[in-house]
Amino acid sequence: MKDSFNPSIEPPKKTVTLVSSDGYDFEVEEEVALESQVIKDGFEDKAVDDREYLLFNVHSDTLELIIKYCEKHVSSRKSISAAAASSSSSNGEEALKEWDEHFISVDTNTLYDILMAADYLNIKSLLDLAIQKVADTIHGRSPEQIRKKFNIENDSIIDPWASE
Amino acid sequence: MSNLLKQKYSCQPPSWEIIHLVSEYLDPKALANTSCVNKTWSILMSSDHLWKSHCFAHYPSLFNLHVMHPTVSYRKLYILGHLSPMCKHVRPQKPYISMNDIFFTIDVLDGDSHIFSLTKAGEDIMPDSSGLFRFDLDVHASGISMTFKLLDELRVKWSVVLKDWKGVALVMDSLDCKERGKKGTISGSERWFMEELPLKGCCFSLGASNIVSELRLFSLSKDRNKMMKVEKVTVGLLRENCWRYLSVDDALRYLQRFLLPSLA
Repeated sequence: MKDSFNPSIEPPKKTVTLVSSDGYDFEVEEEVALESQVIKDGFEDKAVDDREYLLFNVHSDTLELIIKYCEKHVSSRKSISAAAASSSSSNGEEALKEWDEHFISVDTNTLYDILMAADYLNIKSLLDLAIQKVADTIHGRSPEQIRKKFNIENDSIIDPWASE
Repeated sequence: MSNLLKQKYSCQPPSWEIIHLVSEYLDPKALANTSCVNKTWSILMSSDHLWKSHCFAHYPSLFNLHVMHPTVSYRKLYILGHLSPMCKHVRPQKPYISMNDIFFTIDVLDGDSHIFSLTKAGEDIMPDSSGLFRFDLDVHASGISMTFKLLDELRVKWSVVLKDWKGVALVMDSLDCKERGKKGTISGSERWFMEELPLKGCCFSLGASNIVSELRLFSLSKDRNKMMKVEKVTVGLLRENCWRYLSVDDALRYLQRFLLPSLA
């Protein structure tokens, strides 16, 4: 399934290969890859035939989601600016926000993976989205509720039986 | 391990990197709550760079203190700022003593020689209808003769005594004579004594409490022989700056600092 991840748009655009930590290749359009500030920095200095990035910290499952996010944002930006140019009314911004909300509504472990990958790849909007999701879970909760929610053990209280 | 596989396990606690990233998105209340979660969270959430912007946003004046005193953390300054408005809204504690725990003794003297004394237990004193520390003491019930020759130098002592003799506060030792001027005034058949009271804990009288004790002796008739028959004694504590009587609770809170020195 992973190998079939290749947008077949004619004519073929310039692509970049992203390699996940578990060794899968993802061929993505240049502009999609450039959503990552890390890839963008020094992108021009790289030879065109050497545009392959080994992402040691990003698992293929997570990378798939990240690419999905970046593709959506690139295409949305295009349609929003197109709508603005033709001065036709558009609720693109709202729709994208909704899409983001749906996108980030994942299980906790996936959320952490996305968050760490967004940090590693430096995708600001995605990092904000993921962090805000975690922060929302924390806001308004007591320490005990946070412990429960995040499955954290309280090591602050000294257990008198612990030494046994 | 694939995500699908991971989902079968219970949610993993977030790594410190995640907590670190999230910490910058938390408001001060959430920072305070999360710092109680465990040791790692406590260390991460106490990081002063997190508190710097909150301190600046909420308490800019305290924020500037950090420049003068770099050893004071922004977190500490934020906490100080956070607590200060709360102090204003804290209702004062109920006084430790009540009117039932005290009694008044009043001595009227001619110079140093004793003319008469009056003792009133707190529970026998008719409370003021508006809850103020101002009392009319009924002298008829005491059965003491309160008729005396009106002298030039009349002196009164008013003490508030804690029952079981645990403490005494001398709230007035004042002369009523012409020389004392405004301290005591003569108006018809009334003698009026006032004394400014000290701040507790000040050895010298620089610190003013702004509280004044007041005592009036009323006489219905003043005969030609300069004899005065005291019919009524009024005592009270006032605030000097606005000339209003203290509430009973405020007065007891003031008095208890003298009567229960361990509180001061």
